Amino acid sequence: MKPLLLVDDLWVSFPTRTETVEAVRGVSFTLGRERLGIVGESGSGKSQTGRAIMGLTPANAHIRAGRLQFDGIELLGIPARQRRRLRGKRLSMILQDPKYSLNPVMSIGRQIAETLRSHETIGNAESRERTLEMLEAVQIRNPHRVYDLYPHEVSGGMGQRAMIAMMLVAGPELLIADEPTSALDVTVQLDILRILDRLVGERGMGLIFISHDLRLVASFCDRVVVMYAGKVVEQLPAAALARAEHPYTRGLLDCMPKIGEQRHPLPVLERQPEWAL
Amino acid sequence: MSGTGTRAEAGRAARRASAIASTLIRFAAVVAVTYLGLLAVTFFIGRVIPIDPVLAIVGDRAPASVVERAREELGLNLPYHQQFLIYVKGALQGEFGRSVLTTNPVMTDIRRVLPATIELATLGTLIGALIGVPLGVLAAVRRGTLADQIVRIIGLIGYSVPIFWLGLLALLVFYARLRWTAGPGRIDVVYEYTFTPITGFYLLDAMLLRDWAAFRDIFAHIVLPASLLGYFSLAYISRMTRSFMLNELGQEYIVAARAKGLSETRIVWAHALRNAAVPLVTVIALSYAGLLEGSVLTETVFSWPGLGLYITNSLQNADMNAVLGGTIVIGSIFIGINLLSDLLYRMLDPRTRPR
Repeated sequence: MKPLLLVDDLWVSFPTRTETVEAVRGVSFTLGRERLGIVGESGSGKSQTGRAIMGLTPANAHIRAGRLQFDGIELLGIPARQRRRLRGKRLSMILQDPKYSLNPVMSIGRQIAETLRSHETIGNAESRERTLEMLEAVQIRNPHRVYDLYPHEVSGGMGQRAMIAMMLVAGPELLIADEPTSALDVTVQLDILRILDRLVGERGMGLIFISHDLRLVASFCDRVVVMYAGKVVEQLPAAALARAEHPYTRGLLDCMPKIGEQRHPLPVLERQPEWAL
Repeated sequence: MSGTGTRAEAGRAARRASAIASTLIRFAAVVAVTYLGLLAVTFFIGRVIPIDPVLAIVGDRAPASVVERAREELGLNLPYHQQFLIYVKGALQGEFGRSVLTTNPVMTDIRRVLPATIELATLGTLIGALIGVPLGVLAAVRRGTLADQIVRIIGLIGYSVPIFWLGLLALLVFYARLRWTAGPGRIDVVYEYTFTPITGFYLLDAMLLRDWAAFRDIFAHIVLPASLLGYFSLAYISRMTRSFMLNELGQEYIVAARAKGLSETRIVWAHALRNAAVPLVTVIALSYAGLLEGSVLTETVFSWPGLGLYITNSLQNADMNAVLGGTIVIGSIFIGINLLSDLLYRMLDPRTRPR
């Protein structure tokens, strides 16, 4: 079967005045209609991998890949206009913090409806109807009221639900969630994950879940890609995470406290220079 | 369900109405206090500066009895707090006494010169905003390219070259050499007896009178000074627009808008500029207020019979009533424009609206 997404030898680099920073260095993986977790510390290139797939890499960056195919379409080979039509409609992305990722001067309902209206020719009534349905689908209890609210008038959890609604309303097949719960309270995180879990399952979407939280990814995803310094250091089924072999992954796992165990102090990661090679 | 819904709705509406009412009251209080402060400062200046208004009227060689009578007529023999009360009362009624220079009541003079200034400043600001904002947007979107550099140089020149020099140069080129425009003044002398202004805004008056020959002449007169003031405010507005836009284009919600698949046009104009418009309103309002009070040099170069020229002339002739009256009028305009930009700000930014 043809994979939904095929990433083969992806490189993203940022030229600066003095040197070129390689953010992503030859990342490869494939994705079906499944949940793939990408974990790594900040600066490991996980977000830039996600943005490169979306086509949201900053204009000054250089991006190249052996193959970068979505549903058989070579993403780096098509014109920008065609690429834009894919965004929001067939592949879509949830950002980290709804406080910054929602337009502060546009009502929530209009922002969600805007996704629809930029991909389909539909009337006011229909776009409003489908926006309200989508707000209900992300478990917002009073969609009519929330439709007219502005981002500053809702809580973080509510804002992130609106974000999910905005990115899923046009029915994409692939969703990239870039740290979707990192800016939220712990109690709200679970709600958001549950909503995401249900929608991804119901709609049969592919999901790339980018996070620095190893445990969260292990419990939420089918497969895990571990990144370090712009490279994939290990790729394994989530269930097999405990049997990870790469010393970086092992080191991370060892740093986590376990219930019923007395370890003081907790071990910290001892980085080896050869991991970054 | 619907019963509780409407009740909640009614409650919200009532809360909203009371919030708006309290905002209005606060606005009125702010205006009142600011205006009182303006009057106090101008009163103080009028008493402190070393010009004796009595001498200015009766002259150096008047006998002591005449000086004394004039002093009593002006109310200058009263204690200061009484003088201030009279002053405030007069100012509230638009009564600033007579101008020594023109012998008209100051308010009559101001009513004559103010429209000339407003007409010029409004046109200048319109030009500045309508060209400056798109230029600033262009420079921000094409940051670092040739277009950006050109816009920045245009801005820098407008910002740093003295306006009177540019004015003289423009007169020399477009009026003296090329004869494309009319010279200094608002209107040619041939219209002096045929053209009777209604509102004092000549372009508007000519339209109302359907006097198209006069309209063309007035336009030929105003086009140079208005373009210069426009260029001046364009320089400022385009620079500010560029920096506000760069700030907005770097925000996360722009990434989100791209992820939604919106077109670049929509992202720039409907998302980024809509957010940049909030601080831009203040910038444009301040630049407009600046043109209203500060176009003295332009008015001098173009012999434009406006408020700036009037106040400068009065100042040079120690005509304090006229100077203070003009200052208060300018101050009032400032207060009004600030109030307006505050209201506009609230309309543009939902975060500043009362909930």
